[in-house]
Amino acid sequence: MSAHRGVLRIALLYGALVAVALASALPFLWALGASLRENAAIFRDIRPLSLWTFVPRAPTLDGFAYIFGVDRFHRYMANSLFVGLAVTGLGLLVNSLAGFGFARFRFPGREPLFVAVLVTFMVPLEIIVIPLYIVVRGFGWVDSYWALIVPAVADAFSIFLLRQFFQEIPQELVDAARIDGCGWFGIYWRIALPLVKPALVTASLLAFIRQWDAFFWPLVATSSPEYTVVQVALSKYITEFVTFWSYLLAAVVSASAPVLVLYFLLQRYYVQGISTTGLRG
Amino acid sequence: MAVIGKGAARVAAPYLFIGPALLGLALFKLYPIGVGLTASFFDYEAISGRKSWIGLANYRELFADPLFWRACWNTFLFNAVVTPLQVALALALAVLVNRRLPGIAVFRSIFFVPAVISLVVASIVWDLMYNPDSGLVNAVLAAMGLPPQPFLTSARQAMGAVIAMVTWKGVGYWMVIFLAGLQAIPAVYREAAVIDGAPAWSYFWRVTLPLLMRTIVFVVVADTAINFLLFAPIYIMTQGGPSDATTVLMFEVYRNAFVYFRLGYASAVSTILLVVMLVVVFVQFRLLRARFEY
Amino acid sequence: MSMTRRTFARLAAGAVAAAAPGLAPSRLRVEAQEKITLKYLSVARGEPRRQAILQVVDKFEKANPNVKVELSETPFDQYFQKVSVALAAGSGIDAFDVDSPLVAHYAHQDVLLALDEYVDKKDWEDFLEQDRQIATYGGKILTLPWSSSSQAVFYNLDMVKQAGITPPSTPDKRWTWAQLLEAAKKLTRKAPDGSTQVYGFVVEQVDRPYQILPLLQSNGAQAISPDGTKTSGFLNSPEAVEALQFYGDLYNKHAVAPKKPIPDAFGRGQAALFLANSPHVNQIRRLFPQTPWALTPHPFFKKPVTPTGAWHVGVFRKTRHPKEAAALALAYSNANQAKDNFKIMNYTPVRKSTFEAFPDEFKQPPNSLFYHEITHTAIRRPATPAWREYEDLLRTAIRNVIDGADAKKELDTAVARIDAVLARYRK
Repeated sequence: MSAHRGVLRIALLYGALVAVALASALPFLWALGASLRENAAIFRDIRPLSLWTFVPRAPTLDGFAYIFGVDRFHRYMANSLFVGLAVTGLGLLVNSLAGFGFARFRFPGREPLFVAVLVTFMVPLEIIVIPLYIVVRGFGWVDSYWALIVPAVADAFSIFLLRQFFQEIPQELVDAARIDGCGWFGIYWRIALPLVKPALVTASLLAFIRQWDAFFWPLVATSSPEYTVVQVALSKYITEFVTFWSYLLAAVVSASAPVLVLYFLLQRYYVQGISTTGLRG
Repeated sequence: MAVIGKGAARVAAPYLFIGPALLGLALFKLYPIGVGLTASFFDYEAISGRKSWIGLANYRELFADPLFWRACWNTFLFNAVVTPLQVALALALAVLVNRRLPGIAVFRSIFFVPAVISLVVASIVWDLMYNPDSGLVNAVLAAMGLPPQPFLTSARQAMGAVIAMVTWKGVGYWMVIFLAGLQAIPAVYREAAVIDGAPAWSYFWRVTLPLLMRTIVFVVVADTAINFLLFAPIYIMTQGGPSDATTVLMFEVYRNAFVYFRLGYASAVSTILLVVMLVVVFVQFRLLRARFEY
Repeated sequence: MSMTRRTFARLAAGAVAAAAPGLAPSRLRVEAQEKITLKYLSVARGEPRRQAILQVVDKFEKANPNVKVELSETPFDQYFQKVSVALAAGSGIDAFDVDSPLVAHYAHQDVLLALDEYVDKKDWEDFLEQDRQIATYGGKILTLPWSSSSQAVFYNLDMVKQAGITPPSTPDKRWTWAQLLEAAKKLTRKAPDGSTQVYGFVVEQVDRPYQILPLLQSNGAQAISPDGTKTSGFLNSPEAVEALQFYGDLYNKHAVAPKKPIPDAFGRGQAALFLANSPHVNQIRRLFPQTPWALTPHPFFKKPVTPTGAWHVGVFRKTRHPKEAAALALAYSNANQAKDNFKIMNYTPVRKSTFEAFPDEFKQPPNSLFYHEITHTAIRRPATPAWREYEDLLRTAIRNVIDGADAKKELDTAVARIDAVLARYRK
């Protein structure tokens, strides 16, 4: 009886997985198929639903050829990659230090300062864009990588996430390190960081995605093609009178691919059992 | 908590840790926020820069405007549904894929696909998909023998359609965080439960959930903030309609800031939004902390 | 990654360059010619239409070697946000594309430089009367027109033949809206599963006042009171309500138009009649060459009214280089460039000389029709500093009517809100 139960459970499990996978992927699959069609064929075959809704009858790489060959879309992807890595790399250090600080210390002003941190992700960019632009201009960073990177490094979202994970570290481990004569930075660097590796990976991945998706701030803060980021670049295919769907869809697929690859490569940090928590059994 | 190091170093330590980040936040977020929100006490024309102090007049005008109250209601409706839905689904999915099964890594990747597409692009694609005549969603419904729906063109369905799209977009994102949280739960607890013969649901409720609470707090609070400020899907798919059915407070902020260029008024809406968010988050911290004592 | 290395090299060079003025001996600095950088904010027009501004910048830089023009192209939807941040911050903008109905708005905000002293009086007469009016506010020339627009109905030749319809080809025989509706009904085709396969009628800018205000005006309504202080009794007059209700019925009662726009419906053969702007002539030729089409004039209720107005060049009042910026504006809009602008971008021209330079183009279809409309039936959008609010509120009303709401209720609501805004501007 338990064998039947087991098979049924597995079948239900896979059934659920497949259903969710379809719901997650269908829009992207359509966009992928559409990016391989010639412009006039893009919205064909959607209704009635068939295999041809997702598979182009006469696939073509024209859209991709145009955006990479003529518009050199890879330039913009490279810009976003550079900015994303810089923000994420610097952010890893800055935000984990702050997360550790909020998690493991009691100090005067801790609550108000943490609330101040939370407030920074509760006010929309539209309200702060003009004063922020003036600050950035004051540094002379308008239309440069600095404008895209520096304001984004300190990030409340990452600080908050890492704080939650740093809070989980058992006090015994910290006390043991103290007894061994470890300073606070040593505890942070050698004990705490390794213990929250999944959280560090997650925070970095999500911070990278936030940068990759950035649109309004880069639009306002930069103008030259050399600093244009990927989301701004692809929005240029929507013009006053016509949307160049073939190019837009090719750009969308191209813009999504690197992040998906990155996520797949980072999978191993999410697999149960590979990361250690440092606890005895 | 610990006390190590000598005198000044001991006192300074926490501030040194949070210092760099706080400096960045102060300069690039808190200062502009201060400037941005105090604009709510002014009649401020963004482009000409003309400003004049009017005290609470913006707020008074706001509270007298039926559109503001409609936006409040829509915002409440939207957030009361989307955040719990996203959090619950994300947690369920994380638990679902947090196991060793052949091919599970592929599923984990597929579930993350919506998070990889930018919100603006996703809104554009879903706007096409929701098209009553030529959209993918109605094509799927037709294939299943169901009647086509008006979706975004109907005042009754529009909010639901937006909620569905936002849920689709966000679940993968939060799932990843829950996965990280689940990693921190030692395998030894799981093995113990299996030995005890505890049913999966009971194990989840009494062991996993409490151990995951700090992660849950993060996801609930962060998701709340993000959803209160959500704007692109509404801007792209419904423009606040039909008949104000999907006008939320953030849309009013945008409209007043960048269509009417009334920055003072837009700031007033944003300030109210901030206050509401802080209250909601405070309540969330309190409620979720209570569950901690086990 | 070479990109990173290059970038760091650039950053380092930039740091050195920033420090350089402090290092160079003063004698050298005095002898070097002053290099000026102008920032031009433009709407991203895509290929090949963006070649026009590129050409202007190129020619201008060659003619003025000490000036460098930094061109920034922003997608239409976000353009106004980018411009307003730059204007509000007071920098990063010297000259820019001005959407013609916003001249009054920008004038009210006092961000446009008066160009009277840079404009040659005789050359000014070359612009069409309409466009000269739009560019002037408070007695001063505030912008230089370089494009206008006009509309007509594109129709699919095969589809109308099949339905036995012959749309009129000359303005004197133009359809009434009732006649267009009849034709659209015949041209709408349904698929076996009940969904609509071909819509009889689609409109380029489904809910925008640019597109729909002319319908109301064609039925005898006025956009705003003559003194510009209120819309009550004008925008919600019985004529306006009737016209807007007719428009809404196209989507609901008669279902000849799609409630949600279908991308490129006409080009892709999913619509038979398409009310659209002149640039679509080239767009359809290029993107959908297999679709056979011809033009029929814009329909009317009581008197023919067509939309008009497009882009002008404006100079930021607080620019540090007014002479050069004004020169750039002139370079974009002068008579010679206007001819190239027309060839590349296909907007309806604003200068008489441009019309004369292409006699073949404008004496036969399709451009002869646009020329007729521009000179006979075009009515500009109202010149009010509250245009942004007016447009947004009217657009909401139009959209709600398309979604099935009652035209009278929507217009009354819009009018009440618009008048409240107008009252604020008067204070």
